[in-house]
Amino acid sequence: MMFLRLLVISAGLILVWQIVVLLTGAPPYILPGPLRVATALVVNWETLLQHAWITIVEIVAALLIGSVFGTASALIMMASRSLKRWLLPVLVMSQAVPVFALAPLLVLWLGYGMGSKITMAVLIIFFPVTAAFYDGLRRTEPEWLELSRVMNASPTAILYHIRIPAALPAFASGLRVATAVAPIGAIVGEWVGSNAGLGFYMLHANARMQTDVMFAALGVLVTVALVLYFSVDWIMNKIVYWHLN
Amino acid sequence: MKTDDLSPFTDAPGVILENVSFAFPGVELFSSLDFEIQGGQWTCLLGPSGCGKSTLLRLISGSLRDRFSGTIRFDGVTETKGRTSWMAQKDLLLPWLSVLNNVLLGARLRGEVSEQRIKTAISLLDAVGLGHCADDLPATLSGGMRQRVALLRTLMEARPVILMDEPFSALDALTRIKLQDPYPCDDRQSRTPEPCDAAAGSPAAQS
Repeated sequence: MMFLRLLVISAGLILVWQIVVLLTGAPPYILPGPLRVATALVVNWETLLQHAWITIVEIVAALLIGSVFGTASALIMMASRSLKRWLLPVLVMSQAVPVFALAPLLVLWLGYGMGSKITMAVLIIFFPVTAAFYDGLRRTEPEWLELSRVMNASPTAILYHIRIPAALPAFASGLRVATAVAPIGAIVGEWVGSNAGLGFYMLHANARMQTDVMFAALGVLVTVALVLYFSVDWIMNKIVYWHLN
Repeated sequence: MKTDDLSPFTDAPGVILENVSFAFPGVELFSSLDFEIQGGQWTCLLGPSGCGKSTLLRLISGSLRDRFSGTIRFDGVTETKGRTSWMAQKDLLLPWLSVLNNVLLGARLRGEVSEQRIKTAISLLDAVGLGHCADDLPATLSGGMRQRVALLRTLMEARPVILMDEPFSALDALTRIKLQDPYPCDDRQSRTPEPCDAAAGSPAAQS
């Protein structure tokens, strides 16, 4: 049903797009029509796939690293109140600095390769994961904790058997948000300095006034982002199987 | 019913409270409270809402330790930890665990799950007519079934003192009466507990 809705929305948008092109009579280098973009997509398919693969690897790597960092930060803050006092300002500060402003620096430090893009995306991803998971860990049903203590459970057992599973739905929400914003980090990183990836390819096409290729790359990027989002959503629904009931 | 593995009432100790005072921030609940509950019998605490019945059970369970003054002991033993099991008004079933694993929660938390315990849990589930639901999630059960699972989880702990805090108050009258029948400890009791109180060897709260 979701995919059918997506299909209908896409068809609607393409229709509006075609109408705008017809009504405005805009030249193709300003606003190419859907057919021209579809042609560019077919003609440049292999190149687009190569660059898309680079971007996908960057996003997935950043999601994995960002999730690990986010989970670890949340667990550390949960485990130690004094560590939390030190860690929380750093976390907030990391979000106060616009990641886009850091992009040139990261390219300078980490080079034109994937490292700088992955780091950019990690910076964007790990905060929603940390915030959501930490919130989930803190909001465990107090009576579950009380019951566990009456049952003589150790703090480690309570964390493993009660707090973490109880926080998984919140973690899943954080990861879904992170997945939705992850492509931003990778693409901005590619714009600032790279020699591969969809962001690089779009910039390359833009410089040559190949607006139709830019649109084709944008279409591929949106598809990649959607597939990633729905994959993560599906995996999370499998992990947090009880939450759907 | 076979309950050999569970001996909650064998040598059930009396509960003695001496000079117990407890206050929530700004509200004093008990001041210099003294009373004694005989071991090996049902005791029901009655009182209006908010008078402190649940808090008293929590004090005895040990979950509010360090937050009261006075002494709570079980017939000479001051350490109450590990000697009580507690059933709250809500069933407190963990939604991610199967019915069987919820019954085995205490053992899971302490890393004491064994074949014997699993067998005991399954036989208890069979006895209360929930054997076929052992692998189901709590969300698939009705309110009465969930309370039965919570009751089995409480009894699986095999502790000498069982504290029940209005365990069946959320249920309708018919379900409450039904819940009396499968009560797995009847053979040890001279009477079946009233559906409202249901406490073994020690106190339950009922407003």
